[in-house]
Amino acid sequence: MDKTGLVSLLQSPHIWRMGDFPRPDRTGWPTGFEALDAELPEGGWPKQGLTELLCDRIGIGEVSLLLHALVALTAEQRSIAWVNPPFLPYAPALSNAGIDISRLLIVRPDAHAETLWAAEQSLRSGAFGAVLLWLKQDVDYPCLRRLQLAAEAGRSAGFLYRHSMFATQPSSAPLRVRVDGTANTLAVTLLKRRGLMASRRIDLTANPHVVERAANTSSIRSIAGPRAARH
Amino acid sequence: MLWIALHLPELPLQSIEARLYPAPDRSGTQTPFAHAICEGPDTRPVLCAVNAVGRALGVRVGQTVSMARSLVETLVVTPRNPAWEDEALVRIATIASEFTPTVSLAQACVLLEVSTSLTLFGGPAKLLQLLRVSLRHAGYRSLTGVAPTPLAASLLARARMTSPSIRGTLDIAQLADRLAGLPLALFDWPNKTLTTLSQLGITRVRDLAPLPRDGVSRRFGTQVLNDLDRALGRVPDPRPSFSLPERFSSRIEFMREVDHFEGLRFPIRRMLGELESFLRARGAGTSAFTLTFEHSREHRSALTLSMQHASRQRERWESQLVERVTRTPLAGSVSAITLACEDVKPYQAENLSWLPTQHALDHQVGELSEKLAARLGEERVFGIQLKDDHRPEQSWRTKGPGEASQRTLPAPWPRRPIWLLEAPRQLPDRNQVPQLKGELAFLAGPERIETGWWDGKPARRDYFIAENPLGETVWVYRELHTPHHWFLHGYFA
Repeated sequence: MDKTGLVSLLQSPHIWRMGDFPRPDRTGWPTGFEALDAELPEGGWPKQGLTELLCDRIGIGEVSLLLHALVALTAEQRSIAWVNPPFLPYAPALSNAGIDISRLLIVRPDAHAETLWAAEQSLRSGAFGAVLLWLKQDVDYPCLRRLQLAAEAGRSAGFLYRHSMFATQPSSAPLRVRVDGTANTLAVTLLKRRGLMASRRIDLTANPHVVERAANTSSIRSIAGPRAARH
Repeated sequence: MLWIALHLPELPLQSIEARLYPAPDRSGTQTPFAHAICEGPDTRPVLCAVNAVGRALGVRVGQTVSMARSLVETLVVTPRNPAWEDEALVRIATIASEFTPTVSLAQACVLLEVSTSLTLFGGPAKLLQLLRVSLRHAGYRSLTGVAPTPLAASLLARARMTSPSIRGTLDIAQLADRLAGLPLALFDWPNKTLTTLSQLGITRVRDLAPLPRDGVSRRFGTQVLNDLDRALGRVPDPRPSFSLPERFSSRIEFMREVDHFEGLRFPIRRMLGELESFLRARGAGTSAFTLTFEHSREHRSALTLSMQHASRQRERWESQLVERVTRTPLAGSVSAITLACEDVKPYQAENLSWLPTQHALDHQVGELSEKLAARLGEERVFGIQLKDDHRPEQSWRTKGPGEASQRTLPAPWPRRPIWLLEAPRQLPDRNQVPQLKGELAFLAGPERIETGWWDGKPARRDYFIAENPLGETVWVYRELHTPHHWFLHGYFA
C-alpha cells in the first residue's frame, strides 16, 4: 500500500485512532497540579459522578490531592461530607489550607452497611458539592454501581478512597486513580478515565502546588534529630 | 357573614374509629369488619351507629345489641365514648381553623364563619371542596350546610340527612325561601312543643312563619320565635369562639397488641397528620415531639424526635421516624401510642424558589444531617470548628450540624496534619529514633507545645514532622518529661 493509500485510509470515518476522542468540556475543578489537570478528561476532578482513589498508605498526600477542589467548593458555599474517615479531619490543618470548615459534615458510622447507606444518601440528596468516602472493606460491583447512580442522581461528586489491592476489581466509577509515592514523591496513575486509555504514572512532586509536602520548607530551621531536641 | 356548618351524624362511630385500631396484619392492611357503637343502659344496649360493612349485612341503628349479634355473629360492638367524641370535635375544629379564624363548636356540629376567607381560597365552592378533602383525609365524614346565619347553616346541614338535595344559600334575601320547606323537627325544641305543633298541622317553617307572633310566644314560650328569628337573621346570634389548645396530644389504642412497626405506620401517620394540622392552624411549628409506646404490663418506651428547625411537614417526620425505628427497634408489642408535643414555636415558612438557591441547599444539608443522625446516632454526625487552644487535641471541637460555628480568629497555625489520631499512639523507639513501619526521618521540628497546666490536662511536647521509608509523612511528638516516649499524633495525608 502506498503512502497516499494510507492517508486516505486514515481519513475514513470508520477508523478511530486512539487519542482522537473529543474531549468533553473542561468543566472539572482544577486539581492544583497542571500535569494532572492535563491528563484528566475534564481538566480537573469531575464535578459529578464517582471517582475512585486507590491508595495503600496513609500520609502520602492522598487527601491533599483534593484540597484545591475542596477549597474551591467551600468558596462557592457548597458543603462537603466526609463519610467514615479513618481519622479525625483536623480543623486547623483544613482551615490553614483555606477550607471553610463550617461547611464540613463528618459522618462516622459504626458499621460497613451504614457507611454505604450514609454515602448513598449523601450523594443522592444533591445537598453536598462533594462526598468523600473511605471504605476499608471490599464492596461488590453492584454496590459501586449504586454509589455511581446516586452520584449521578444527586449531581454530586463522590470521592471513594479504597485500598489499592482493589485496583484489579471491576468498578463502575468513570475515573479510577491509583495514588502512590515513594519517599519524597507523590505520583498518580489514571487507571481508568472516560474516552482515553489509562495514563502513565504522573509524578506530582515537582509541582510547586503540592500543598502539604512543599509548604513551609523555609520554616524548617534544621533537620532536627531527637538529640538536637533534647534540652 | 357566611357560615358553613359541619354536621357529624356519625361522630360516635368515627371518633372511635379514629382512636381504637383493629390490629392490622403484617402488610399493614386491615380487613374490613362489621363495627357498631352502642349506648343506653347495660341491660339493654341499643346501637347508635353502624359502619358500612355492618349496614350491608343488615345491622341498623336502633337495634338491640343482642338482635344485631344474632344477625351478624362477628359484629364488633364498642360502647359509645363521649370523651373521645369531644376530642374528635376538637380535631375537626382544628382542621376547620386552617380555613378561618372564627370557628365555633355546637352539639355534634362545627360552625365556621368564612366570609373573610373566601378570596384566599377562591370562592365558597372551592373552600367547601378543600374542607371536605381535609376532613376525609382525617377520617371524618360530615354533612355541610351553607347559610348567612349559623343556625340556618346547621339546620340545612341536618336536613341533608333526610333530603340530600337541599341547597344552601349565600344571600340573606333568599334565606327565608330556602328555610321554608324545612321540617320543624330539626330545631332543638322540647318534644312537647314539637308534638303540639304537629298536631296543629304545623310541621314546616313555612307553616309557622305567618302565625301571629304574640299567640305563638304565649303558647310555646319565647324560644320558638327566638330560634326562628336567629335562623332568619332578624336578631343577632353570637357564638362562642373555639380556641386551639396550647399543646398537642393524641392517643391511639389497639384492639389487639401490634408487634411490628409496619402495623403502626398508618396510625402514626394519622397522628402526625393531626399534629401537622394543629400546627398549621396555630401558625406554628415544632422542633421536638415525643411518641410514647405503651407495651403490656405498665411497660412504656418513649421516642423523641428533634429537628434543627421548627417544622411542620409530616413526610419529614415520618422519614426520620422510620430511620430511628430501623436503628432501634420497638421494645415489644404495642397496645397504645401517645403523641405529645409541648414544643410549639412560631413557624417561619420557607421560601421555595425554582432554581436551587444557596438557602435551599443549606436547608437540604440540614435535612439530610437530621436523617443521618436519626439512623446513625447524634454523636456520629457532626461538624468541626476551631478552638483557641494550642494543645493539638484541644484546638478543635465538634459542633452540631445545624449549630452556627463560633468565629475564632483564624490563628496562623504552623503546619498541621489533615488526619489527627483521636488518641496519640505510642511508638517504639530504637536508639531514640521512633519507628513506624521502619525508622522515621525528621523533616521539620521541633515545635514545642507546653501549655494547659491550669486545667489538669497539661501538654509538654516537642512535635516533629517525620517520614518513614514508605513515604508516609507523620506528625510525632516526644514527651518532654521522662521517659521521653514517642507518640504518633497525625498523618499529613
